[in-house]
Amino acid sequence: MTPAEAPVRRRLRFGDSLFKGSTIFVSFGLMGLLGAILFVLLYFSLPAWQKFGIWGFLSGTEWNGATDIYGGLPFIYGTLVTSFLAIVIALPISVGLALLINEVRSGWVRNPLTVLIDLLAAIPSVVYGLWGIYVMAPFLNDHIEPILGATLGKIPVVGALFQPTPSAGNMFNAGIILAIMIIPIITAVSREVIAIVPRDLREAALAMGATRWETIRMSVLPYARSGIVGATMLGLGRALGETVAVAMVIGNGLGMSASLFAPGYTIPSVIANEFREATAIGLHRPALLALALVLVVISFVLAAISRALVGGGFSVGLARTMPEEPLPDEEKVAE
Amino acid sequence: MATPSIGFLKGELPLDDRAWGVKGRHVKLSKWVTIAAVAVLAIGALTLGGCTKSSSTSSGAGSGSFQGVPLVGAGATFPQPVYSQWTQAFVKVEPNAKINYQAIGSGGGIQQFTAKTVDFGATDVPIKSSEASAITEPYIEFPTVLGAVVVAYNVPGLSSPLKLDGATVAGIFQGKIKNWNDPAIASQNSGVTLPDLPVQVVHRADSSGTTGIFTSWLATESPEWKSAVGSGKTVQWPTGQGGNGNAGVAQAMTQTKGSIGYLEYQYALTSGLGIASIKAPDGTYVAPSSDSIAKAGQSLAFPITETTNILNSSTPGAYPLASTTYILVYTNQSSQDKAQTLVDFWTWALTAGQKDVSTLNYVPLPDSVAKDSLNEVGKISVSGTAVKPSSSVQ
Amino acid sequence: MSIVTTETHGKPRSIAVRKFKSRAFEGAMWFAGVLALIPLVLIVYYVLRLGLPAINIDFFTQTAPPPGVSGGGMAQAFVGSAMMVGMATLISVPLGLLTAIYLTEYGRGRFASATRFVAEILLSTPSIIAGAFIWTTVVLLMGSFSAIAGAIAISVLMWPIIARSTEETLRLVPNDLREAALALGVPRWKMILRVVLPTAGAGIFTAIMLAVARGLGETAPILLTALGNDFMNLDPTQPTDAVPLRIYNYAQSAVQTWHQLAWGGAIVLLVVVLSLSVSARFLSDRQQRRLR
Repeated sequence: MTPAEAPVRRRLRFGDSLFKGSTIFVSFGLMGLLGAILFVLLYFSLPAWQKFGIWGFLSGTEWNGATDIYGGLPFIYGTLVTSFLAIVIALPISVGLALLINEVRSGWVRNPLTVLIDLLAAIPSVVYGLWGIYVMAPFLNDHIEPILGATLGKIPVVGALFQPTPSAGNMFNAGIILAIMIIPIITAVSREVIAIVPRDLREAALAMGATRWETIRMSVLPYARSGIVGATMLGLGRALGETVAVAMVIGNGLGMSASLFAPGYTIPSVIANEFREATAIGLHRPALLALALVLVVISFVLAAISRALVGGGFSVGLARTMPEEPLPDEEKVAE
Repeated sequence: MATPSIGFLKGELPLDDRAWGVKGRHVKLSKWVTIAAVAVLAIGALTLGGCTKSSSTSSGAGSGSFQGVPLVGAGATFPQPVYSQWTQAFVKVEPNAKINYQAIGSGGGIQQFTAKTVDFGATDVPIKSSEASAITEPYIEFPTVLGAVVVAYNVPGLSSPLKLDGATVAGIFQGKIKNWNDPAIASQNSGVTLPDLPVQVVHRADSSGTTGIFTSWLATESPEWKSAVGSGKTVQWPTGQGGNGNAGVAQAMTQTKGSIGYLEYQYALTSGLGIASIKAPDGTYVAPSSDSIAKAGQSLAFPITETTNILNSSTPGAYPLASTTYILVYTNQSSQDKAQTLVDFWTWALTAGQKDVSTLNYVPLPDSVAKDSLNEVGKISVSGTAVKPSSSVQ
Repeated sequence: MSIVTTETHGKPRSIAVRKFKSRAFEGAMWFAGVLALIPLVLIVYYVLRLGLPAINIDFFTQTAPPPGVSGGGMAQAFVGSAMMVGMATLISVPLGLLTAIYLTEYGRGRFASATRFVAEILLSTPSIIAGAFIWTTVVLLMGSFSAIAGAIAISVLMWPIIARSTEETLRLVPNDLREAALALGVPRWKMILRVVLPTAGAGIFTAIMLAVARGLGETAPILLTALGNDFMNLDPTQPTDAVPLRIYNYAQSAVQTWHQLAWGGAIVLLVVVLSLSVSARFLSDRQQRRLR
């Protein structure tokens, strides 16, 4: 290197470190954002944790502004019940759909199906809620729930789930709406996981005379199983956090009813409904933020588990990730 | 080597596009990306630059008169129809006074007022001492209009409106009376065939002055209610589904057959729900109407305290569940324009605005109360100087 | 005809049974597909049917009508949404791009995987949390609800989407391009800005479109930060209305005229969001085909 080149090199290095530094700074910012969210939630919810204790808050059933006693159990219950119902309904449909997209040879079916699933994913939550209140809920309340109540409701133990009440908003409706909303994400991730199954496995099974169902059962599903579980976790995470559509159809009832047809309440709904009026004096706002913290921690855990199961490569956007190639290293390529 | 520069915006290809390994069309896409980015930047810049805070830019009626500035208020849903009517009408008086009232419930009104995120708060029940202790600066609290909480129901096919007394209503809302043909209801409504229909209670999901009024009344009518549930803007409802705001309760009720709920009068009327006549202290059943509400309003008087209410008024023919609603404003304002707009708007509302509230089935304040409220508004000041209403609202 | 059997669990099964099972399964797959799409059809149908009567010039030019008064529109909501999502885009695009560039071009080791993990967590964080967080910080600090608070809350949601989506697109850019540029002496930052980003151009655009579609449809964050407004507002420091917020409020009322407006708003939202998604997919497929 001649002395004449030296200043140029220094200039290049400066631009490089500036740029690189700014990308690192921004990435730190992203982590800082998550940290700030966790900190704010924890700090402002501390009074509630201190007053009720962790177990006391999570198991408390009274949510009373007059006595300033808050317990999160009814909301945890409602959140879990509706999300569980959503998964039970959405999982078979999503896996079936994902298999369908992979099995069908014709692009004429596969591509429109993929686009339509994307559309389902893109519909805003408030439109789901609006449609849910005025189209879906009346239909379910008037036609489906009486039938379920008359049939399943008579079965000894399980029947308690299906006791009809006239309530317009109930947990069943919320579960159905959630199921519709999480089908796209479970399908999308399952689809990718199933697509990655090596063809040799499939071909080996076919070569031995297996039918299509047997092929899928023997070579695809076992291979894709952990990925599908991961996809379910992602769907579950989405279901747990869904605020607006659920708040509009769940009925906002304070109790913990055994019947799915009774009104219920979820953590995101109560935060949305009560946050603007929650005072800092007293424990109302700390209690709401404590619930928010519970929600964040649960979605954190679910995200971690699903990442481990699916692998970090599931796509967020529409680009299909390729296996990671090492990117060119600056030191080796530059002078 | 030649790096592509601004030339690519003109659609020029780099010197040797094969060195890039892609076809030249990628350049066109980059051009669109750039144009889109510039467009977004332009919109953003125009928006950010569009701070319209001036009070004198708009040309309104009378170039010399005060034009008003936008204000933000939040709180009770009880008076929302009236406040909506008032804010829409006031824009014609002061064209730049776009008063944005968001009905988030009385509890929300008090909270946002305390947090100073709004210019005025609205609540149906007076501030409690515990809430007042969190407010650090002096404020005024004054009633604006009279209305009523009604017990509404969605029971099709009834031949006449139902009559209910406090104990029965308490029993229904506690979940003890579960069917519309229960003897407790039937005994007060001989001559009306009641259907075999389960009762579905609808209450408020948010912190509500309407709830405060309703539960206070229930607590006086039923000792059992008082000990089991109590009263307040939020209570632990033993049963039922919750709606957001009076509007949400109305919506849930219209969709639930057999529902019963408590609503401000106008909401029940416009939703087509049945409205019950309530047993007054003298034993007669009174239906809500402008007349019966006005009779109850006669007992409203300053000073406004924590327990001020016009429930169960002793005046014959008064509706037992009538109520007023209050506005909260800080006395010491920092912005002259905002203070002027506040004074003008509320002066207008307490004088000219009272004339049209009956079209929405609300009732004007008694004259003495309106005068006292105007006196309160007169306390609003900037740097110690009281703000007088503009000529346009005198 | 000889019966070909398989031994599973020691029990021979006839081929007819196996074929039947397979056919039944295929039927179930198709049934699942149809079942998944029925809601989509129903939603689009009802939104169109109930919302089209509301669409007229007034709907786009007039502001909120008082309860029960017919006519009026959602002009203030359209302007508010555009303003807030516009500002959110201005905030989150540079942040998202820089994060993505870090993850693909510079990131090695634990910090990079931690960043990626954090982005995924933020992606799946419920949107109401963003709203509560921004209220406790921005709204309280500013002393008022505002459009800028709403924009910041939306950008909390958009940033991770843009970051992860762009990261995937950047990974698809062939390494030869990078190596060629570096070999020719181009500084790394210039190589990223002038080679990688333009090549990935459509993919980045797609990522932004997806994030914008998401941002336009979000209600929960603006519920707690922008409050809403019945009047037109262009001042970012004042409360502002937005289309999803307006639909949310109108839906939870018993006012028929408001319901009509809500369905109209739903149509507009659907049209905008769905067309953004479809174009994003179309652009993305084209981009991937070109890069492969």
